[in-house]
Amino acid sequence: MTSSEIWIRRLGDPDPQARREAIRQLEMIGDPAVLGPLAAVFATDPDPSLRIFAQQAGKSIYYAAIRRASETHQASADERQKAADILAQAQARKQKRR
Amino acid sequence: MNYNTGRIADHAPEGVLSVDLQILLQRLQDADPAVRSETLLILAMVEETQALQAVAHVFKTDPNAHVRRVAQWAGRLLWQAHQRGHSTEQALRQQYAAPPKPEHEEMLIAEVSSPIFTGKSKLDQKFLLERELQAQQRELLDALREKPTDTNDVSLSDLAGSLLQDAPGSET
Repeated sequence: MTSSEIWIRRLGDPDPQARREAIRQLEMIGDPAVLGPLAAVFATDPDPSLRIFAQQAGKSIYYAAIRRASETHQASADERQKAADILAQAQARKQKRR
Repeated sequence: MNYNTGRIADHAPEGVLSVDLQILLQRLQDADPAVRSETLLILAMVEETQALQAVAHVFKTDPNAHVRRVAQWAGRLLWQAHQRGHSTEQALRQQYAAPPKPEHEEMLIAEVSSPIFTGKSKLDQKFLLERELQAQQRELLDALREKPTDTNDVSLSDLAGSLLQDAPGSET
């Protein structure tokens, strides 16, 4: 069982403090796979403050995932080549100094 | 309360830990009603207003009555978020300050290079914070000039009208 799965189980704990801690831990782990369970808390938890807390955690994970995806896709092949060239030149200069 | 483990990862490309609007919209067409319901809950939670039309479509056409009810609930929340001007794009801009433009960067380097600037005093830190806020404001104003908001309000108003009506027939 992964750590995410352990904390997802805790989302069903009768103690609101335990559920709050589980939400906090899931946000820190940041795995988009937990958006579903967090959304279930957002929609159904009897404690309104926990519903909001789950929403904040869910948004945080969602935004981070979008940002990761955009960073991955931002650089074109040309830009990557240019970056590789610059790195190679820097490496060459470094070795020359030695 | 018993929460199932999320299924987003099952629908993401293999080995890639990511989720975005396209993946969520694909999940709204999943054969499993539980996946469609879960996706509607996620869209409502993250207030993904770009999905409003897709959610309205699910509300009108989904063969499952429970999914239609969830779509109506999600659609109302998304409509409220849209009404108060929320968008994921703007939220991302606020959460992750955009990197300074080259001209801003040059100005900042010139100012930070000043012999009286140490970066350690409260005054210097206040200066840096103010510069960052100014840069963010400029980015936001530029974005607003480039892309006027609410250009599709007429059709979205129609969608909201249908979402605020009662759910269609309850056949499953």
